[in-house]
Parts: sequence; structure tokens; C-alpha cells
Amino acid sequence: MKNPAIFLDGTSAREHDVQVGISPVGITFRAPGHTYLWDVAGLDLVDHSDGGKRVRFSHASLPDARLIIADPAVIAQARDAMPGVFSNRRGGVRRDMRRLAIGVGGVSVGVLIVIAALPLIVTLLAALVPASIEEEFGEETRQAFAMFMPDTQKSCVDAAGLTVLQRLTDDLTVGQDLDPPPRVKVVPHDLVNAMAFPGGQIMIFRGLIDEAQSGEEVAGVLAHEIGHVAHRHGVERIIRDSAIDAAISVFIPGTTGGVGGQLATLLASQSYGRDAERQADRFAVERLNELNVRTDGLIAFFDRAAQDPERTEQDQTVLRYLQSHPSPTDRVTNMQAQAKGTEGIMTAQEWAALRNICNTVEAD
Amino acid sequence: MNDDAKPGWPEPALPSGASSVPDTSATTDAAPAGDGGAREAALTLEFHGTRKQFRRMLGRDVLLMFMTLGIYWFWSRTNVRRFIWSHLSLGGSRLEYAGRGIELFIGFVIAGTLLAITFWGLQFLILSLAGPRFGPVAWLLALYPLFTIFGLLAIYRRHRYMVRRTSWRGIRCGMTGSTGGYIAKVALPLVLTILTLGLAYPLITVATQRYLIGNMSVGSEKFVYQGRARDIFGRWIICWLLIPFSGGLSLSWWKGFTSSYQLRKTSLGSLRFSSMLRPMHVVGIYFLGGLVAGLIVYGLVFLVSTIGFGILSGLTTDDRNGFDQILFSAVPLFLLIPLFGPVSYAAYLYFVDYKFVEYLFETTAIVGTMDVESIAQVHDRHHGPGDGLDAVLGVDGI
Repeated sequence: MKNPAIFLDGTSAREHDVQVGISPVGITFRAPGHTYLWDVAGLDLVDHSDGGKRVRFSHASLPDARLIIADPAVIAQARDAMPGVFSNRRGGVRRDMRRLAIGVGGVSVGVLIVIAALPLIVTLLAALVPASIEEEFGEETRQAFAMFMPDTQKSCVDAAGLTVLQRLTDDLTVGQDLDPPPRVKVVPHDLVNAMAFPGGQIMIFRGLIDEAQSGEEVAGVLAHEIGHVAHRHGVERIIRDSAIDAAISVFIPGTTGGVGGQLATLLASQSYGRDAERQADRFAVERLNELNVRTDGLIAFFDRAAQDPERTEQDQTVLRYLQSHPSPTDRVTNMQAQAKGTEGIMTAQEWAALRNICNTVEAD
Repeated sequence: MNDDAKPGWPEPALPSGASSVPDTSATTDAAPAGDGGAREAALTLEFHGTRKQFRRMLGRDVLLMFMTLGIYWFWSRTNVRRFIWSHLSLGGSRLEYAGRGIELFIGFVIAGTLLAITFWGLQFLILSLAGPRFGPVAWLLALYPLFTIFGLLAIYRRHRYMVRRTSWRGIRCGMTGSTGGYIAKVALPLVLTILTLGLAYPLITVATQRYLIGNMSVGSEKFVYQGRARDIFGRWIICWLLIPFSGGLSLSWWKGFTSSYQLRKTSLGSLRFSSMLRPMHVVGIYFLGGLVAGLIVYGLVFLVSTIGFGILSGLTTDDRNGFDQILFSAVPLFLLIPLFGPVSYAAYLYFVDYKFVEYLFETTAIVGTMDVESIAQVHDRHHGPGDGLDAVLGVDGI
């Protein structure tokens, strides 16, 4: 029987022309000095080129040696006698799939650990950022903001209102030793909102004061914004976003600087943003509790937001995941559970003065 | 070559698990057939791959990449390399590629993690020291050398990974040197190239070729590289001047020319390589191949987005359920987006890279004779994570 094959012994590049005997138990052949008996248990199909017209075997006993068969009749004979060896290649795929599953599992665990540890790492890093640099970032952000909202470059400076605002800020930060300290201003704009910038700047929009039904509502919102300053959420966000951005641009090729990458960063960042909002809520309630001030103002403010039919409908949709603030309904429930204070924070006259703070406006 | 095998070898009766038994009757055959000069043989280089087989393999890979959201890319890259290696024969023996997809995948995860941490850490350091006004500029300035260093690391590590997983006639190829050693060799050429706005680039080309080839061996036989930058300076200057006027195509001319130059300056023992490659043909491959691949990819993107916008414009915005409608009618189209990457990868691989490789092998010949049987197995087998840096940095090709 002539079953030609080429044997490579794995120690030199010499080729040996051999004749192979094939049976269901394996392949046997004779090369100089040895008779080789390659049983199916150790036999592996290494290569399968030219559409299977050429096959290369190895054997566990001699991992570097190769037996190459290029005769279609011999290959067909081997395939009939040892079908398991030819499907062994699928064993290789199975092995890869198992390793891939382990790999993906390992990566997922790693990613979860990073996601869980990120807030802590970010907080530690934020502590290393000098206050002056943080203020520079805040100023830069504020200027960028002013480009599409020029009114934020003006301040409401009515004297009586300013006195109330300053007293309110002092009360809410007493004993807190905040660095950088919060600097609060009211801007003449209709937006019902307030925001904290990195470096301690807090901006309350006139719309919010107009919309509020008591001084406690404004005090609650202000306490919430001071919470962001106390926790340095602004600088933390910058650090966190850059981490998410780095990870996304490295692991999802082609997203660097693209809309997809930005959207992914936004989505990932917002989930941490919601945690920051809860933290600021907690800070606000704790401060109001310490001052024995009623939290119902803040609660009422969010409650009205929760009742807003448009807002409620939005909460039911996918859009909810795009919002950095947790749902008002959730926040009201959380705050109601923690609220203890019973007093008001300002007199009716003071509240009236605060409402009129934008009677005098000057440019920054 | 060796005709000591006996015809009519009986069907074996194998002892369980046995693999090799000394055959005392054949010990006299242990010496190679023929002695001395008779073992010197001329070697040929042939590429047996067909486009049809390659296309079929790529088609299957695109589907698997689409279904796995791109993760199969690492296995596909391995398939492509194995395809090329196993269809390339030197002296009648095919090369063998032992790399695995899983090695590339793990390598990618490791490299990606290290790179992300490095980028983030450095960005944090620079921004928190320099502030928002000067920080971004400082970061950009730091980014260029950083990318250059990582790019160089990727070139060396990818080459080393591929070489170490290549064998010929059962003899493993080896790669000495180190990433640090490579960077040390190209550092000065790199600085000079930057200072001369690219004019000194042949210094990098030759330093890279010398390091990558000079450290390579097939078993005990080492490759030798004898290129000199001054041989290729003249051509580079023309190429460099033509970059703005040729829309970058002069760089593909340069790629063709330097590939051919590299082969002509490389020897393995007494074997030399000769190359009949015409750089203009390479320009043609890059221009036409790139055009066809680009048309396929942008055609697909155009088709999907046209249909997508068609659906969007058909909906009225004041419809209260508009958002849901958009979401649901556009979902099937969104599902096609993961196809863009694999199609682009396969199109450029097939129309550009594969055709280049095919042409390179077609035009290469081996000159001289060599006692290939004296080449001995000396390199250890390599396992473990592959080089993932090239994947992280998006280095395409094979």
C-alpha cells in the first residue's frame, strides 16, 4: 500500500518522505531510526489548507513534529478511519470558546469592580486637585456657559435680598469648613433651576425664586447645591468623565472624539450623576435637620415637579436614563423619610426681600 | 528526499497510548540521504492562496463579527494570518501559524486597560497641574510623543508575536531584542525626522527593518539585513515632495518600494531574496482597492442612513407617540450598524491588504542554495497573551 506523506521530526528542518498506515486507532509510519505510532488520543489536526486538500498532523508525544499528507486519497482514507481527529479542530474552537467565556467573565468582573470602585478613586483623586485649579475649571465652565446664556454674566444685587442670601448661605455652611467656600449669586434668567460649578460657584436662576412658594423651598435647593460643592462633585465629574472617555475610546475602536463616544460617555456619566444628586439631597436634608428647618419646602418643590404632567410622562420613557437627576418622585420619597426639622428659615419680610433681589441687576 | 520507507507497511496494531518505538532495523538509515554538498538545495517561494477561498473565509468572519458585536475580530485576524501562512510555501514546505484568537483577545484587554489607565492618569496629572487654560494644550503636546511611543511598541510587539508563532518544517522562528531595544534604535531617527519635518524618515525605515529582520531567525539560522538609509534617501525626497500633490498616494509607492528594498537587502544563510515588485503597481492596488472598498463601505452606510432618514421624515413630529414610532421603526436599521465595522474591515483586507500580499509574494524569488537540513530547533515554544497594543491603537492590516 502506498500512502505517501512527509514527516518533519521537529528537531531539524529535514523532510522525510514516509509511507503511512492508517487505521481507526491511529497512524503508523517509519522514519529513520524509529517506527512512529501516533494514536488518535494524542493526534491533532494542526492545519487544513487548500480547502482540506492538504492536512498537517501533530502528536502529543512529539509536539514539534509534523506529518503532512497532501494526497487526496490518503486524506480521504484518514477521514474515514479517524473522523474524530478531523472534528478535533472543533475541539480547538470549543477550547477557544471556553477561554473566551472565561475571558469575557473575567473582564466583566473587572469592569464591575472598576465601576464600583470608580467613585472612590475619583473622590481620592479630586482631593489632590488644588482649590485654585478647581476654581479655574469652574470659571472656564461658567464662561462657556455664558456663551449661550449671556444673562448668567449678570447678577441680581438688590441690597436687602443679598443680605438674606448671604445669611442663608452662612447658616447652611456653618461648621462645614468648605474649601473652596461656596459663592452664591442670583442671575436674572427665567430658567427654574440652580447649579453648582467646580470651584464653589453656585448660580440660582430668578425663575426658581419666582416659582418657589416659600423661602424654605429656595433654602432647600440652595442646600442641595452646597451639597454638590461640599462633595466637590464638579471636579469629580471632570475626572470621572475623562476616565470613562479614556476607557471608551480605548475599548470601542473608532469612537475617539465621535458622537458615539460622546453619547456613551454621557450615558455612563449620568448614572454616576444620579448618585451625586442623591448625595446632594442627603446633604441638604441633613443641613436643614441640623438647623431644625422644615424640609417640606424642598419636598414641595420636587413634589410639584413630580406632579408636572409632562415631566411625569417623560419619566416613563427611555429619556429618564438621559437625565442626570433622579426622578422627583423617588427624591420626594427619600427626603420625606429623612426629614426632621420643624421651623421656618426666614421671616415673611426676608422672603419678600429675596423675591425682589432682581430688582437691581448689574453686569459681573 | 528520503526513500527509506518500505512499501506495503502493515496496518498498525498499536499498543495503547504508544507513540514511538525505536526501530533497530532502521538505525542504519538514520543518516540523511546524501552527504555534504548534495544537501544544498535551491528553494522556491510560492503562494498558493486563492481569492475565492479567502473571500469565503472573510464572508464567514464578517457574519461572526456581526453576531458577536466585533469580538470575533481577534479570531478573524488569526484566521487571516493562518490562511496566508499556510498557503505560503518555501522550498515546497508551507509555513505554519500557531497564534490563537484568544491570545489576541486577552492581549487586547491587557493592553487596553494599561493604556486607558496611562492616558487617564497622565491627563489627570497634566490638567490638575496646568489647569483648564494651559492643560489641554499641554495634554495635546504630551499625546503626540505618547502615541508615537505606543505606536512603535505596537510595531515591534506585533512583529515579535507573529514571528514567534511561525514555524517552517516544524522549526520555530525566533525573535530576539526587546521593545526597549527597538525604541532605543529608532529614538534618534525619530527625533531627526520630527526636526526635519519628515525628511529624515528613511532613517526610521532602515532602523526598523534592521531591528525587526536582524533579530529574526528560523531555528538556528539567522536573518541578516544590510540596508542603508543613504540608498533610499533620494527616492524618499521625491516621495515626500509629492505627498501633498498625490493625496498621500506617494506613500503607497514608498510602501511598495521599501517592501521590495527590504527583501533585496535580507538574507538567510546563503539564501538571498530578489524582488521584481513595481512600486507603481502597489500604488494601483492602494488606489483602486481603496476606491472599491470605500465604495462598498460608504455605499452601505449611505443605504442604511437614507432608508433610516426616509422613515424618520415620514413621521409627524407632533404625534404624541412619535418618539416610540421612531424608536421602533428605526430599530431594525440600528441593528445593521454593527455590520459597518466588519464590512469595512473585510473590504479593505480583501481589496487592499490581500492583493498587496499576493503581489508581494508573486514578485519575490529566492536566490542561492542552502543546506536546510542543518537548521535546528532552538527556540522555545511561546504561549500566552498576544500583542494587543496594535488592536487598541487601531493598526489595521494583517
